[in-house]
Amino acid sequence: MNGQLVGLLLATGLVGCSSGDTTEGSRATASAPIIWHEPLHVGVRCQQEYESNWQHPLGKVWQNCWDFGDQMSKDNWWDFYFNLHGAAQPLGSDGDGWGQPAGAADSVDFLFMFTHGLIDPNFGDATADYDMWDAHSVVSVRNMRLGDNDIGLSDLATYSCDTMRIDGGEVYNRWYPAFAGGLKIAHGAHDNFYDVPNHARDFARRIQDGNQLATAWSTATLLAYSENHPMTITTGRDPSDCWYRHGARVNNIKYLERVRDTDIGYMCWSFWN
Amino acid sequence: MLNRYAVIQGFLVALAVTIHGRDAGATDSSARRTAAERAIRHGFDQATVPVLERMAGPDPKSIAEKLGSAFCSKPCKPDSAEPATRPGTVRVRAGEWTFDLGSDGNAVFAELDAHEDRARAIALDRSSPISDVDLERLGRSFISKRLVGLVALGKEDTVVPASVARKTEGGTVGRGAPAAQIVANRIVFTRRLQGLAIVGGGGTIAVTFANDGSPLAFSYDWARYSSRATPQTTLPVGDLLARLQRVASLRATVVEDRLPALTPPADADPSSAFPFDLTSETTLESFECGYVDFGEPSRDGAIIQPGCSYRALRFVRARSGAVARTGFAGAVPAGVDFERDDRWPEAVVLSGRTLSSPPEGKDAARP
Repeated sequence: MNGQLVGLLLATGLVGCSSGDTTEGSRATASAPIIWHEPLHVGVRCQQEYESNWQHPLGKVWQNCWDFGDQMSKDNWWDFYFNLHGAAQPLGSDGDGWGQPAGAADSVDFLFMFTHGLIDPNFGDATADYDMWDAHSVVSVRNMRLGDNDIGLSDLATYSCDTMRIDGGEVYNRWYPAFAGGLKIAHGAHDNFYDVPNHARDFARRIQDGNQLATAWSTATLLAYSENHPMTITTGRDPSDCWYRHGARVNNIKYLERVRDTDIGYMCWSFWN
Repeated sequence: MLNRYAVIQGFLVALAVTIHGRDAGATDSSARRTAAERAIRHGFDQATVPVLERMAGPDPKSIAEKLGSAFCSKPCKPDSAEPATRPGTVRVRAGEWTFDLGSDGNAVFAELDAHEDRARAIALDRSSPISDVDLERLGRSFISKRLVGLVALGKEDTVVPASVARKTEGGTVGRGAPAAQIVANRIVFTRRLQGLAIVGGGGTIAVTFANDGSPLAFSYDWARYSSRATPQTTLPVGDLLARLQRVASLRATVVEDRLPALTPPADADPSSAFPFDLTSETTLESFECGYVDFGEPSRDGAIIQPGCSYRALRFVRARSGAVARTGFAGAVPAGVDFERDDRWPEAVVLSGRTLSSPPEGKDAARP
């Protein structure tokens, strides 16, 4: 059904995509998904090696990131596949409205990232950083405000260590700024994620199969390596709303109401350890 | 549904279990820790180890019938289809379960319908998690009763508990103390074949239970193997560690002549050998030797050679003072002369060849 929809959209030119641009990934093709959903706009931003080796290189980044975009493109719009060169601004509140050519966070519904992540000790566990390619450049969660520009990001999935660490009791403070813009769900790790293959395509497949997004994330990362520490965070007006949103799937994430700023009454999470 | 969540959340808040301390992560069993301590001191006990081939398992129809009889509460006819997301595989529906069958007939991933909601609801009544001992007992019972005929346990097989993990759900009102509750419990078993471990991800059975001991999900990768005529001579442990150190340096692009010489821990030392310093920035957290089978789908039709799995952490301090950890894992070949295997990254790079790689992400426009 979705393939028919996509075919119809392509035939009538309603989606306005530029075909044949492999730099920015491919567009949805006629494929039969398990669960019908309106195609999401998907962005992928990753980094495997870092300027002047300021951070240790990773090994499985491009494979996983390409796999994720390639699989998601079967029933979604894979809008961009960019590295993290100069990316602190388009991922932070300064530039997340700069649009898809800049790889800005709010220009897609779903953003997948794979880079180093860590707790920033200068803020007492109250923020976490994602490493960019540029030497000593990071984007801090405290400088993110996602979901309030452009399309507005709904789901942020980061295959990075530690950014959702819970032992300091600072999860709420650390992640409130990012959710305050209306971000609906975020996936990450509360401890180590290991640089292993085969998790990202499986994550995409489980999303397409109609699993809860949180379960797709934990299952894919745990099956790839049982020592991984997946975690998912959502917010809501109250606990009931939060847990309802925690069960979001690919076919309803786009339609969940955005809960912003002081409307956020509860933050809930699930993790494996 | 919303009311139920409200009730559950009220319960969570009432518990008010503040999360303190560093997360332990999945906990290795004593059997796995013992195996790792032995491996880092001795490597292989055997001077030579056979090379195996992973054989194709039963056909999907046969597996579906067995799943139907094991997981339907009353007689049912399982439905099978090829999922669009996994061409070449088979998805089976039987009763309240969905099963994804691996492409070579040796692996299954299964989940109960709405298992997340069930786990949360059961946790209302049984808030205590299952102990490690009970988890192992439940797991073994599940294997012997529900997976009979699916997981072929031969006389040469031993099922060994490897690790346990638990799913926690928590939340907080504003900046208050978070509440948390364990809602599911997972145990992973690994396999020993003629006394040698299967490492690398294959040869595993994982079962997830709700707090009342009912199964929520499981997976297994359990192949039959045939043995090749010519075994491989295994490296002594010092050379195995040096090979691992070389892999670690290749993954970190450290210049090789800076690598320190490694000495395996002494037998007489009763303290744990882990973490073990591989380089000035890299510590080895776990090490286990045996047959390396990465499991379906990576190993479909592959040769299974001796090797040692590893789990390592690399630390680097940023200008901000923050310390970034890079976790990496895999397996190194243990044969003095190992066979070419293009699906084994460490075997490729140790042979001086280059791993194929998909396109890298491009630069975005800068306004």
